[in-house]
Amino acid sequence: MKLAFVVQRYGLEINGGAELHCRWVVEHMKKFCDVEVLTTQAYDYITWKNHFPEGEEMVNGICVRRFPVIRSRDPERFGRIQNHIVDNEHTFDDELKWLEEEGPLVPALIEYIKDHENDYDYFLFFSYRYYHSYWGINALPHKSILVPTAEHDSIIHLSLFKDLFRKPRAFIYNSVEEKNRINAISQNQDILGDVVGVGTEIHEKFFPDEFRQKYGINGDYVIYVGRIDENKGCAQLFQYFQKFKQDHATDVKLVLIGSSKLNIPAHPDIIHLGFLSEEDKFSGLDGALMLMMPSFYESLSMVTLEAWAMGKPVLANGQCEVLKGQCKRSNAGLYYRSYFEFEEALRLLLHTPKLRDAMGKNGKEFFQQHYTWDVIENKYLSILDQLEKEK
Amino acid sequence: MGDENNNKNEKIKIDYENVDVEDIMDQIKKKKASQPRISESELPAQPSYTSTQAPAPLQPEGPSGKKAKIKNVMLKLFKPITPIIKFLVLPVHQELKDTIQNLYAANQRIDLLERHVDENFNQIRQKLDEVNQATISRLEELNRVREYTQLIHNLSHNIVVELTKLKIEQENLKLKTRIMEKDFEFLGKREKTLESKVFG
Repeated sequence: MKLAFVVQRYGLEINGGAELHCRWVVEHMKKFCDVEVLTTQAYDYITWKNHFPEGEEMVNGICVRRFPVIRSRDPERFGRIQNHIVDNEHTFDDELKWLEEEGPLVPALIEYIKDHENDYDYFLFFSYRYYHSYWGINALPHKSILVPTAEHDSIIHLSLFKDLFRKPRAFIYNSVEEKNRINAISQNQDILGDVVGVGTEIHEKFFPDEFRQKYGINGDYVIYVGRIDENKGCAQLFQYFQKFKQDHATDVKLVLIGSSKLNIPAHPDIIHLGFLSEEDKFSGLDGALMLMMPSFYESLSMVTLEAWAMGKPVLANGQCEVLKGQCKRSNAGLYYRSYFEFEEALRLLLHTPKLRDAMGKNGKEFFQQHYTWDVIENKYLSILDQLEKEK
Repeated sequence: MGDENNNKNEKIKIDYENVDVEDIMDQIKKKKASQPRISESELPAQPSYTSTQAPAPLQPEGPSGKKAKIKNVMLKLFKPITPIIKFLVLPVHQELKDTIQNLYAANQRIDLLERHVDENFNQIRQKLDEVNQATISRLEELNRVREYTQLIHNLSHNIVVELTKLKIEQENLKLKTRIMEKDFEFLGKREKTLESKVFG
């Protein structure tokens, strides 16, 4: 069986989101099938500017075919068009125009898919909202599998996608909430689909003491790992944490790992370490009391799964349906929708080691049950088997 | 601190063997409902990274150099009548000095205000234009929606009228069907009577 994974960006340099999710799945599915990646030359997800060379390239032993983006995205123009689409009555043509602006505009990739239909058994499209998924699935719906990686934003309600969600042969969802949302929008319950998500690999050895020494961290700390951005809820987290520190005599620190696009308050107990190696990241997580996950929009949150895999509880933003759902299903994390809930939940977790241990244990079990690579690979294979039987 | 939290924790019951996140969150929500609200405005604001400071007003100088020497010589010469000079000159100078200082400060403040207005005038005008444009487009949109609603209203009205007509028509047809049934019944009976008379 030969599979083509179609994704907006691909490369070892890209270390987050649907692209990393895709790379990990590709590298694991390589054991069972012939796999190839069809993608663009883009590296920057804001402008889609061509960065990688055109043509074939081997990345970790996988053939990657890159196609040129014929027009970069102008963020300002795109913002205007998106606001118009979201706030006003509009036509289907307006939505197509939006999709073209959303990009990445790679007509050569779509032509390749049409011309090489018979070279592949199935095409797995990652991220529903981009040009390649919409036109790729429309070109070959009978060979398409969609991994939507959908977040809870207004774009998903465009009529463009209502039709799109009825076309692929199968769906691979990231969470129950994502599945329910897409089912509700397009009534596509009859299409084969399963909640799969993505696995993760945890380093075997951690060095929390060395981590503390290296970065000069003393005492208890909670940790945030990821891009430090307003969209990720970090501004709210800083506000809430500072208020918590004002109200409670506690030494707990907030350690931040990741590149920052936000002004981090100059507070002695908010420590920003920047972008760290995987080893340091896991050592940091291991030494933390819990993971803070303040994001408003998440399709899955790999770092939350990593925290659970390491037996750490999570304090998540309850305004993100997926995080809230995951906390409830795993019984391994609390969530907040206001400062009061944040204060109560954080206080409870900080001062109840027994609760932290119990939640950590639950998290580990939840991860073992749903997110180890064996489980993920089997779910992918089971969907492919079912499609083969329907042939 | 520990005791205080333990006391607070007593209100939230947790079964550590079988943790139920939903139950814990329900208890937190109930607790929240029973306590006074904390508004978001009470939270620390994000730090502001820009600041503008008004330049300090310049101080007018008092007499100095040659003027001061002449003044001292004159004061020595007129020492006998110093009290009169002091009475006549110094208060006037002090008053003049204070007045100049005040005027200078006022002038500086006016300059500063003028500069601020100049700097922000275009911005204010631009913002007002934007608000104006947004209002116009919103009004246009509202008009469109109103027309659309009116259209739907008319359409609904027409549908109701048509449905009423159809209902009346249906009743008439039912009535006619019933009359025809009775006619058929009557004709059937008549047929049987005639048959019995002819063949009986």
